[in-house]
Amino acid sequence: MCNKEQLVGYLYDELEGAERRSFEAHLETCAECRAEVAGLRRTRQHLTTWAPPEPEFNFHIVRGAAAPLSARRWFGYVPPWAMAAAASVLVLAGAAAIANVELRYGPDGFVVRTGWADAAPAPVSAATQAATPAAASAVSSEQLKAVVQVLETRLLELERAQGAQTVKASAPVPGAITAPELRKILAQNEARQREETNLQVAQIWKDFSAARVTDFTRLQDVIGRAQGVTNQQLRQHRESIEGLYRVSASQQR
Amino acid sequence: MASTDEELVARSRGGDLDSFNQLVLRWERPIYALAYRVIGREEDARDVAQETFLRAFRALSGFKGQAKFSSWLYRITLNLCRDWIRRERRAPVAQAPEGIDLIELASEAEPAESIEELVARRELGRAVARAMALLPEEQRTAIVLKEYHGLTFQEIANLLDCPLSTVKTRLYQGLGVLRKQLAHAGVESVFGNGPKS
Repeated sequence: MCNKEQLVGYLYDELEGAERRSFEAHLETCAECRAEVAGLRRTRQHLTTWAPPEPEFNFHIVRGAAAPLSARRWFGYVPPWAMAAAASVLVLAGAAAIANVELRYGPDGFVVRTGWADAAPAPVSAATQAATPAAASAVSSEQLKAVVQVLETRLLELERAQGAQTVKASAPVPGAITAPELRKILAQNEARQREETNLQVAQIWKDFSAARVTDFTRLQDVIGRAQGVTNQQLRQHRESIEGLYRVSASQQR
Repeated sequence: MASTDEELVARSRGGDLDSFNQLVLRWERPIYALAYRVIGREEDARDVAQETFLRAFRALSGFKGQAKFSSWLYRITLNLCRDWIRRERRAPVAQAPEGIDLIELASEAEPAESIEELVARRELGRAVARAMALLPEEQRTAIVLKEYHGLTFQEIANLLDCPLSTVKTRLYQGLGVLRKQLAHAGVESVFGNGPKS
């Protein structure tokens, strides 16, 4: 009766002296066990050709499970377009702080408001109240010219009125700008500034998007190339290991 | 002189993170290889290896040195592999063979070996992977621990919580299946000198 446990122990060289001698004596007389040992030895030899891939490991434990990346390393991951965008935002924020401009990002996209309206809230008509910033920014150049014309005319009239005031201070100044008129002029001026700011923001956004697309394309390209190199390295690793196994196997033989 | 596992474990338990990372560096490849051979998928094996070290680190205070550190790691890895197999509800995957670049192979072939032999050896490795994937998990694990990690029968029995005789049976049966599978795949006729079974 063949003892398969002994056969496995013999195969893996884990039989103690007496047991080993006993099984060797059995092998002398049992052709079936001899063939089986030989076959399984070959199978074990074949198993050496199966090598796992050799990926690069970066396992290491850091204190604090969710330790953030260091500032320097984090900054290294920021693509140039993001840095340019951040710089633009900083410039805009600085300008906004100086000019009391409010920048907001909402469902309608970027919204830019000057602080003038808040600082001196004007009694505006219902039509003006309903107007959106986009409508307000749609002031044509002709309108602007007309505003300038009006201002110049008013300035001349004011100068003339000042001369008359020296003579008769209590007399009403002919052609003086009334408060509603002044507010209207200011509102028009604000609208013009808003339009310019909107245009600048739109341009920055456009540049930002274009840079982002370019960067993504470049990144994809780099990843593709890296993948190719990695695959090749893995293949080379695997083949070198196979070579080692081969040498080892030939030495065993 | 390099520190032993036990020394590194002792220092790690005292809060020395570098010592634990030395253990990681020392064992990451064997642990990954074990996971890869048991579950058969590169990325998942990597995840299992990473999770093994995380768990080991968290449970280090409970590790009193009652077993070898490597055995303890193996046990964690095998538990994770078992979880993975249950979760995925599937057998290990023999990964798709890659294309063979003959020119590349030729540059690495030894003078005594032909390209045909080299290609055949690569094919043999794949055939082994496929045959291993067909084995029941218990047999495959026993063979992997014995063949690729050099554990003794007793160490395998301790690790798998089963009698010594069960380990031997699993090895014997597993090797028998592999032998037949490889013969069926034509491996014996290419590499072996003995008769087909």
